[in-house]
Amino acid sequence: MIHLWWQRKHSRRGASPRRLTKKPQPPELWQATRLWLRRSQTALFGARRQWLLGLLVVILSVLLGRAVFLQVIQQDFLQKQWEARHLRKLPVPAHRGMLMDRAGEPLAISTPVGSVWVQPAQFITISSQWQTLAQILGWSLSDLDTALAGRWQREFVYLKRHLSPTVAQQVKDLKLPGVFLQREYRRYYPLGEVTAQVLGFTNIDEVGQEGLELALNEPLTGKPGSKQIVQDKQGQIIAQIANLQAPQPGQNIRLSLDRRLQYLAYRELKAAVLNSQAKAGAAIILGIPSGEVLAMVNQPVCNPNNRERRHSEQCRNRAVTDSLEPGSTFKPFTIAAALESGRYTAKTRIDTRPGKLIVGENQILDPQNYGIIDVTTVLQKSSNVGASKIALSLPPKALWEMLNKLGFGHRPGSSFPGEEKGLLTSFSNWQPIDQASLAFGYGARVTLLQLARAYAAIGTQGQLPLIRFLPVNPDLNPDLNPDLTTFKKLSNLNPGLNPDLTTFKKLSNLNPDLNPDLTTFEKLSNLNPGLNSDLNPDLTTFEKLSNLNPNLNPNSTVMQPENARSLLNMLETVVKPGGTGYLAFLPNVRVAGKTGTTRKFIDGQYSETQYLAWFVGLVPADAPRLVMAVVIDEPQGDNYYGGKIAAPIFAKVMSDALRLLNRETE
Amino acid sequence: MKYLLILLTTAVFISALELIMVRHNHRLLFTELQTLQQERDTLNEQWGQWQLEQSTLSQPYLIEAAARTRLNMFPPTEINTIIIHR
Repeated sequence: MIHLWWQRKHSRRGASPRRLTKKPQPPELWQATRLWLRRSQTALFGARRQWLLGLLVVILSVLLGRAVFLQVIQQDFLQKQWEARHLRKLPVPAHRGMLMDRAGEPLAISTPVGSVWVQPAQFITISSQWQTLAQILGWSLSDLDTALAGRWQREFVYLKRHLSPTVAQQVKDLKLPGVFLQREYRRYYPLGEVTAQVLGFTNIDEVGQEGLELALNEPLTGKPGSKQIVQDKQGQIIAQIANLQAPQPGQNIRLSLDRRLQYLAYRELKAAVLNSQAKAGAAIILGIPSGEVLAMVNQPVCNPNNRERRHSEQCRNRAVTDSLEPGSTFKPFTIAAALESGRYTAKTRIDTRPGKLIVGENQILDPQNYGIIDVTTVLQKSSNVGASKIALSLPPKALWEMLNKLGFGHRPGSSFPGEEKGLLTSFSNWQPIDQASLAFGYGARVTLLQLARAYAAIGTQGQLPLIRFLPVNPDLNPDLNPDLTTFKKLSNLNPGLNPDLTTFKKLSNLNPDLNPDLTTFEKLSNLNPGLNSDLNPDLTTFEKLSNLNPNLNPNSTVMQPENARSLLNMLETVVKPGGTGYLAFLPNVRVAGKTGTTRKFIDGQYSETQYLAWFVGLVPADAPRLVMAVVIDEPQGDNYYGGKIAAPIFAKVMSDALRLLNRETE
Repeated sequence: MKYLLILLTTAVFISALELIMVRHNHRLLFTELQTLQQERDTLNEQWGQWQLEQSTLSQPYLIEAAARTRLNMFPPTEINTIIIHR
């Protein structure tokens, strides 16, 4: 362009006279003006024009040069600077998977909540609004000050985390500069303390801390995604550019627990612990032959929904982490060893006269002189002398092998965190008194889970089952994800329907009124469960299945089927009139079981006042489907016997449980 | 040669226009995607809350309490149970 114009300008000088002659004459004044103009252009300002043009060209090229410099040479640097200032990669939180019971009912749900955070530099400028904000958060102004004290220099300060959706919305509606809401997920446990210890809980960042939440942390945890956004100088998001990675929610996991059985066990255990003013208690229900844990409850309890009031002492899953002396509940295994030796049958007669036995310097006593009784009666009456005599007649190794095969002294391998292995000393160090007292459950320590598992082996014709917290058949009800049509239906039905948010509040407060026993209702609210605090749950141990003792095969045969059968028949007599466990009797159902009452070993001697009351039972005895183990720690009063305290719990839970399960199968 | 030049020039122009169109469409679709994702999140959120609500309200304790106190129900006892053996 410039070039053309330049040419024309130069050619105009020569061409113009010719043009003037040819063209028709314009009016005089016009012609005069034109002449003057041309003269002024050519003659008067020619040089100045050149200069000006030159200058323009220079300016233009400087600008062009600068543009090229910025756009081409410095492009990378500038682009990076912009990205650093305005482009942000934000994580998109992925929620933690649900934990469900075996029927697919939720036991732990993560639901989105808002967390308020502030940018102090901006927040300080809106001090007039602080009062309003504090009020919404349920705070006073001084609370606000404490939350921010010493943090004014920071870029990011959480004010309050995990608000309920209503409060979060109110904060959002304020639209205060420098106040932001972050979406987080919070874990809720709808059954609260009923499932507290077995499920465990997560920390505020949704990482499993205890129980199954810890054991299954990996599959439950989602993979957070990321998105790219553009923000302005104030940090407000202007635009979202791209979804870099979609968040992957954690897996929903179905557990083997049955929430109805869990509740039944919880209810009865709690009532029993309250009524006997016991220190603690635990109960386990296992499925036979699968080894699935159907229920696992403990007393005292904690509310997993209330983070502030979760004491690890109360949240400990005693059924798995505490090992105790099993007492008479060990006798069936002594008998099992005897049956396996081939020297004994259910009818073999044992002389228990005169109701005491002297072993070395020690004396083993029966409550009364039972005379000459058969092996079945030894179990039925729970004769210590009889059991000791049987044990002493066996080689130590035979007894030890039976107990070892039954899993005592080994972790049950359920992969539950903090699983205890108990104590079973080696037979090579046994003195006769050790062997004799082991026969009725002193000198060994077992967890309730180990005991329940060993009894399950009696119910499975001698196959020691593997303990499972996940159902054997997980495809019971596979479609749990909401399909879109349901969503549409729901929103079409009642578009303004909001979930009742009071549940959030209800769950956060400890609700002790979870007991149907209306007579003990008042006692429940005054429950003070924290009694001993010397034990801490082992948080780090996560014994995986692979770490199991290789000698201990899952589903290994521990006794002959006929011996298991015979043992089961003997255990049935315990629950019949005349047996120690007659309170576990159920009408119309055959029950097999064994009671136990252990003196606690305290300060180097066996206590006369502190006891453990045990009961382990199997139903129905003809073809066991369930095994339940109960222990009550330090029941007060005169009724401290396993047959008096623990056996009724079994009966109450099982009568309802069988009704529930029967209905299911029909 | 000349025709080829014209052809290529036209092609460049068309593709330039096309690029503008595609970019515009991308922006529109992305906005839509975001809206839908937001909707999905809201729905999921609500579903989660409803699930929580439902499982809280349907917990055995509440059902039992309602059955016992409000409906005056009680579990069948031995006397009013008939077992039918097949």
